[in-house]
Amino acid sequence: MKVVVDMNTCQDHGQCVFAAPEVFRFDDTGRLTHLPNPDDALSDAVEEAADVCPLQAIRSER
Amino acid sequence: MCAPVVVVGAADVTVVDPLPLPMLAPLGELLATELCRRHERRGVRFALGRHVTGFAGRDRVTGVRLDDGGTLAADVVVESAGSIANTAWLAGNGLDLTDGVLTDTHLRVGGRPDVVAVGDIARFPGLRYDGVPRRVEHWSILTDTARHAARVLATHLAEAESGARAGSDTGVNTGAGTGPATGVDGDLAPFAPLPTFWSDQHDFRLQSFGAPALGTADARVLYGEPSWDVVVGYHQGGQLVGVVALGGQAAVAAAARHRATLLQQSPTT
Repeated sequence: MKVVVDMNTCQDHGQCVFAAPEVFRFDDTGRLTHLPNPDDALSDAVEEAADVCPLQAIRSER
Repeated sequence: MCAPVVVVGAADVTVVDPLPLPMLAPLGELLATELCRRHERRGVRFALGRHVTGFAGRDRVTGVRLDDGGTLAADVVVESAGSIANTAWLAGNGLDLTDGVLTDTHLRVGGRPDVVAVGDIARFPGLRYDGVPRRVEHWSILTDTARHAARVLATHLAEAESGARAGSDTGVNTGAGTGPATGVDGDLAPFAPLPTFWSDQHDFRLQSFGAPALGTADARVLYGEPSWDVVVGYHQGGQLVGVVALGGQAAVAAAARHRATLLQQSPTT
């Protein structure tokens, strides 16, 4: 699946990291980074991450 | 909660707060003092332990009158008086509407299996801490309650459906159905989200996990130092019950590292 994060909107809250740590994490500078093409098996976690983002900055598609 | 600071090109901002320190209840004295200091360093003034008794001005506001007899001049006044739940429309249904809508540990209302309350009007038992039902007005409660409530309804509907199918069988039950009905109470863990809130103020963030308000009597600096990036841990009975970060990304990331510990607190079912 494909995951796209609008980095202009993202404010590094990290709710996505809590919801799907296999896909989202903070880099050394504290900015969000993510797998652009995670396995489809992670789609539930990715969907939850998209739901809990306070800025609604995450989009995913199969 | 303290009155919000409005920074929209405002030359002069004064925050009037009846509390001795802004956000004293959820932060405790150490962090509330530091928070106040950071605002003051950026030119915000505070009238603490004071409240507004009236507005001055005729055609438009020219100031606010305080309980100590003084008046603060103002061109714009922002009033942050909190909120009450909009539940009047639910009257007459036998629901507990004393503060929001009282739910059980699965967000169900009025003892019904098929009606749930979500969002910040849901007053649900705080299973993670003392079991007391409370409303939560923070952003994350929307997705937290919605996710659990949807599972509750889906589980109930599936159970009702399999029950109806079994009931409509005539003659011998072949046992080829879904097996014994497992309901919400048997199948789903009760609703016990980890509370969290955040606030972006000036160029710093306040980030909380857990219930710091329950542990302000035993607050310890876990990371950093109050004047820069800091994480304060709040303890009840020696156990960590909440963490609050104040500062930049390093502080927030440090607070997040305690989240796993906070999640491990088993709900008081």
